[in-house]
Amino acid sequence: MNPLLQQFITEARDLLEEAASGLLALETSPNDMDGVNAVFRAAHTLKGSTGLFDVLPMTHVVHAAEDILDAVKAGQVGIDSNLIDMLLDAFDQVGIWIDELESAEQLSKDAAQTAKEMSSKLRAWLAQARAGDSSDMLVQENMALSSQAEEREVVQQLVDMTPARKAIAWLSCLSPAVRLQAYQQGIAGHKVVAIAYTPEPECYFKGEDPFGLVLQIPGLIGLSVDNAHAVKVDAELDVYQANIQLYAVASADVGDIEHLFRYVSEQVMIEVPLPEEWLIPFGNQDNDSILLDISEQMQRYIEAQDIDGLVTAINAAKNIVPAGSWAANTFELMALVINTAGNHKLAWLHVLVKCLVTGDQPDWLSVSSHVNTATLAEEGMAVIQSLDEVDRESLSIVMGLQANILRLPIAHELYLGRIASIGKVIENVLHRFGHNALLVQWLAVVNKSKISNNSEGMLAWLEQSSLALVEPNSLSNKSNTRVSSFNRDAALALVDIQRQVLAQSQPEEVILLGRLRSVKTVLTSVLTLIGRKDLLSALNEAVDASAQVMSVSELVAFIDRLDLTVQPIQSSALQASTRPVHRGDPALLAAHAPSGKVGASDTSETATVHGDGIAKTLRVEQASIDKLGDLIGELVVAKNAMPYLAQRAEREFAVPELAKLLKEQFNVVDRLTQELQSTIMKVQMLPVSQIFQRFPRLVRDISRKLGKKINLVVEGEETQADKTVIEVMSDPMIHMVRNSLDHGIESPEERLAAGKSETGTIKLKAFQEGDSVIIEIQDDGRGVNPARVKQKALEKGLITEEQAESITDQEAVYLIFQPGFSTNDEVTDLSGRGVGMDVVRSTIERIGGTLRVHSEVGKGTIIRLSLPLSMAVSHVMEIELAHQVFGVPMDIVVETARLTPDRIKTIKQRETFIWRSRLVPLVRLRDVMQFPAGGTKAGGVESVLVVRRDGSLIGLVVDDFRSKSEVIMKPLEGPLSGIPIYAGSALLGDGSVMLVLNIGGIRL
Amino acid sequence: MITFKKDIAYLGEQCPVEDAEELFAWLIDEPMRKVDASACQEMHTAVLQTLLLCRPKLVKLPQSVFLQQALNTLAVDI
Repeated sequence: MNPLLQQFITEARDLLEEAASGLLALETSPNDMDGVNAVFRAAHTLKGSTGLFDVLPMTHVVHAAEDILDAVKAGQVGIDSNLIDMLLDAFDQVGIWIDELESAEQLSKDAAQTAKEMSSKLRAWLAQARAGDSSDMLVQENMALSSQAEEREVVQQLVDMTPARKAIAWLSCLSPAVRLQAYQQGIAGHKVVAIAYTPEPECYFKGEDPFGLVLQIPGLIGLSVDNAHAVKVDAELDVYQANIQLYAVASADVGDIEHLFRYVSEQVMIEVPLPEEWLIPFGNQDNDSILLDISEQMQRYIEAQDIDGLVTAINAAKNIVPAGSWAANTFELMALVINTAGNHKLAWLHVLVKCLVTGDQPDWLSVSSHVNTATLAEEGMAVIQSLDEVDRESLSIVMGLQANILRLPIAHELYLGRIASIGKVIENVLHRFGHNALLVQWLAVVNKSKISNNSEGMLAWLEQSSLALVEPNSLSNKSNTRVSSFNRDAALALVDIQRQVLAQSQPEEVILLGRLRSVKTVLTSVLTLIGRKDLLSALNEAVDASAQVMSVSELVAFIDRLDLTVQPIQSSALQASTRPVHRGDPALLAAHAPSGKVGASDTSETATVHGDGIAKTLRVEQASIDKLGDLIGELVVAKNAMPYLAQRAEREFAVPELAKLLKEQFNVVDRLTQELQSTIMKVQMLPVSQIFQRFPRLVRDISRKLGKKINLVVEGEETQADKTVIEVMSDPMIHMVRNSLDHGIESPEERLAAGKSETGTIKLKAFQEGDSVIIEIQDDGRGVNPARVKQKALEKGLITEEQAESITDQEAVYLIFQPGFSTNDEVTDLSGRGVGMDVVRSTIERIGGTLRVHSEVGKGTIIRLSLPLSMAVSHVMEIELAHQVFGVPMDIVVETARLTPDRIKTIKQRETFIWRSRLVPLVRLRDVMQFPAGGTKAGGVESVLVVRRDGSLIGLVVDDFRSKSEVIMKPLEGPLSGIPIYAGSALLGDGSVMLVLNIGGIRL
Repeated sequence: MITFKKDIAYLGEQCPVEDAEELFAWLIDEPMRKVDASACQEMHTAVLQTLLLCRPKLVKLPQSVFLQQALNTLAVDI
């Protein structure tokens, strides 16, 4: 993997961890500004570094989260659990992507979609929170949620109702010369992208250079720059408040441009206009009546498809109008079209001629070249001519036919297909006739039918519309931009159509109801869109009244009363989608101002920086540390060979002087390797907080899920242990804490009934004891019930009836670590599958640790793990068995004993002996290891190693004891790793291999 | 680095963000002052914005086509 990406992944994980723990802390102390800053910084840094890689979805999500944190920082919105949940979810998602990046070096395909959903959710929340009074957030939560859903629906409807293409009002902001270039590129078949960029006022303080960014656009064709809004230019003006609006045209892929603007995506509009949309006349408009004549004449040439005549007319007209005027420019554009355009020539000329007189911007939507191109080209003029009697009739017939098709019975699985195809037919027809108002309405009706799987609405609409054909182009576009014209003109037109729809002959009951419903839907959307939500209740009343009397009269009366004064849209959801998000409070930004390049300096914040400015912390790849550790281990073994060498020098080669020198040298090397060993050990030490820091989140999530109240106490998290121990322990710890949460701690009611406080406590404690790290997990829950455990174990056949009787309560508790044990009948997604605790035990034993449990019914449970401080060096007791040497981990060895035969008693067919007044079972290791019996010393004295296992003692009969030694233990690999009886192998000083036993894995 | 002479400001090859404040103060001082942009190759947005706000006459245009386009609403007085 690319080392840069590798580093990014590591850093991103750290930052996510930082952000998550900061968020959890904020949940308990929401007013902690330092905490907010810390989380914000983490998010900000993360966003910065995502920019280096091709992970746009990640940038989007982190950016949205950062904006919320920014608002929190500025005191605009408050913190509550829901917000924290949402942010945690967002960071979790980023975490998942980081995992994907690590495994596949790229994000999955659906990442963009997920990111879009997530960031729009975050942004919608932010807009909502800003609009609402944040202090009342919790009270208003439910209301907010429902109104949010409503608004979303309206926005969705807006999207549904808008035809596939919208006019792009700002194309005329680009200079005519640039527009000309854009048209020429477009007509030549190149992809032409238009970009409008409104930098936020504070952008200079963030080190942004919008003009510089625009110049970086690939394939840049041209640009225009102006002040975004008029200001009074005097000495008071702050030139570092950005007030600039940039437009650009480029021949490039939209994706590349989106990538370039990914950090300011909400300040940028990117459009791909059709070539003809670049044809916008400019100049002064004269209301010269001669223009009317000229245009009529030209119109006739166009209708007659007489291009030569038109060219002559244009050349003549050019001399009449003043140079540089609107008309002169329109003529130039017409000449251009004649010379360059293909099939659409006539249609385009018609549109241009129309603006000659009206002075309106050309209505290119009516001839969008991407729809139904073949027919359009063939039929040329008919497309854009006003509907005459014949057309109206044929349109009506088409609609009637489609309605008939809809009424036919059809198999269920074909239903949707039919809706879609009828939808398409009518859509194309309406499009061809330039009937935008009806088209908008039709698309909404079709969409609704698709969702509800019910074509009633479509049928009603078709029936009515086939009769109600109104004048086309009633939606004539005044000089407004498209958005506001939708608000006013489209609203009026839509309402008008509704009136006509209702005015049709009385239909059957069912259809009348459907008609009322569809009219209501359309009117609701219209009213919401123009900001007249105040009229909604009146509308509902009118609809209800009409439905009751089975007559449209009430609704028609309502429509007649309607006074559609357009009010500015207040909907926050709309704001969020159309306006750039404004950030932060000026004071905070001013604080950033001196450096002028905040983004750049941020990455170093995480590293420890010294006075000389060079970071003293090194990030080293784990593999190199491991390698170093291995090499030191081998050095230890090699060093241990030197005493043997000295011995041979003295005995075999009889050079005692050399032997002496060797021994001296050995001491030096020995000291150095010991130092090396302890240094590498320190390097590999990590604080247990690495494990512990996950638990606040885990406990919070699970306790919320279970409805329990939990107080998590963490102690000694600075205690250090070998990184392998830490790594291996993380999963078992999660199992144990989950178990405590799920089985240990009771529900609040149960706790109150038992006379305990409602809130349960889970305590995680770590400390060092000798060569071990002790980790305790303590809860004050219901404890392990030994009787119940015994019964369960019996049911599951884990123990026999006799065992159940003989076993002590304390021993019974350990049964929970048996494979296949579970006291919970119900399998939850937390625990209870009976796979948890035995895995915990085997994991701990594998790394040479031990585990002890103490539980009291009603009071709680303590699980105490004793783990080796370092896995690099293990202390083992060497024993001899059938002339082989084996190791037994020192930390379980209690004592060595030599037993005369008379001390060994057989009870229930088992050899036992009394040791310090306790009955201890004897295990003959030769039997266990399937060596031939023998090895007993003279007089039948047995060598017995007393070891602790699962809280009880057993005696291991071995051939002989040898010394204690320090070894570098390596786990067994490959097929050997499955043998439970061995913990690992180690090299001895003389080069021989010793196997280290895992006493927990011995079957008794 | 901008060189200010009598009533013409000569823009440097690079016009970093810091130039904006200085240029603005100089232009606002006397409305008839002009700007020579012929040497300029890179201009920070803040400087561009200052020029568009104060609208001084340009005595010479910059070489770069895109810079010319950015400044094309300003009057040229050669």
